[in-house]
Amino acid sequence: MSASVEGKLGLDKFRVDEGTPHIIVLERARSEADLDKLIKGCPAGLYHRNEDGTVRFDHAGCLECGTCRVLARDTVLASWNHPAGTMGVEYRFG
Amino acid sequence: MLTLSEIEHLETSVPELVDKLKMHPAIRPLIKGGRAVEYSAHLVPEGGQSMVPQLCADNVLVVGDAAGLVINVGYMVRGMDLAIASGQLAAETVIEARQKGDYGAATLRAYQDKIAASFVGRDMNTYRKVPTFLEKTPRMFSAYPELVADFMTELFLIDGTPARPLRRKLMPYVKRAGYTNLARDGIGAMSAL
Repeated sequence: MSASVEGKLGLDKFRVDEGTPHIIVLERARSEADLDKLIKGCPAGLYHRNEDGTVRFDHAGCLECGTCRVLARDTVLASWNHPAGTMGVEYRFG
Repeated sequence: MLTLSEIEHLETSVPELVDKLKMHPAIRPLIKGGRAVEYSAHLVPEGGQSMVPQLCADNVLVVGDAAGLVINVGYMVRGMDLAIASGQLAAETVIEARQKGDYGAATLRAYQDKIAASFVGRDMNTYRKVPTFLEKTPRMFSAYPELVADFMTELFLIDGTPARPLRRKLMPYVKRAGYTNLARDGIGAMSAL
């Protein structure tokens, strides 16, 4: 009964602002431990550590919960914002 | 609900945790045959009264959990009632402001007064010490629920061994939790709640 995160995100309605990520990540995390927290903690599983150790984040599936902002705003992120008006996830069920 | 500071101690990821919850024997039969229609995530501010931000400014009122109006007393989390009530008080304030034709901060400050006078502000104040108590007392989420579960097993398990007096059945568990712990945390809980 378990579904992949991608499958779950596929249930949601997104208006993706292509080419304009609303969260910018540092190329390399200032704290690898904090990057681990984001990799584990992001409900959409959007944070990854590339083979060469750099940070990768895909803004398209962001659920705009703010977890990464609280956990690693200064150590992994360069900036955190909501997407531009009407862009991003649109919750239809509250 | 998961406390953010616990994420680093997780063995799995947050999405996997949600799956595990759905498979839990107490949950699984409840959702059997159901279909997921949306997947969402939300941060719930549980810092209590000390986390409540500025509630009004020119043309702006802040309600619900955006205003930090959440009360976690350990056995229950309240947010819905506070959100509905604060929404209602905000609406009353807006109606009054509309009648005056003025939505400036000075007029909207009436919202703050209404919050303070209502159960919303008063309960936030009553429980202002709880977040710190829960943070300092992780046993509330581990040892003590285990204690209660062990009590209940002892009370209801019939396995053919002759019954012992209640106090003898329960004492080993109380001892394991620790008399000092129980006393101190009991006093702490009573003063915070």
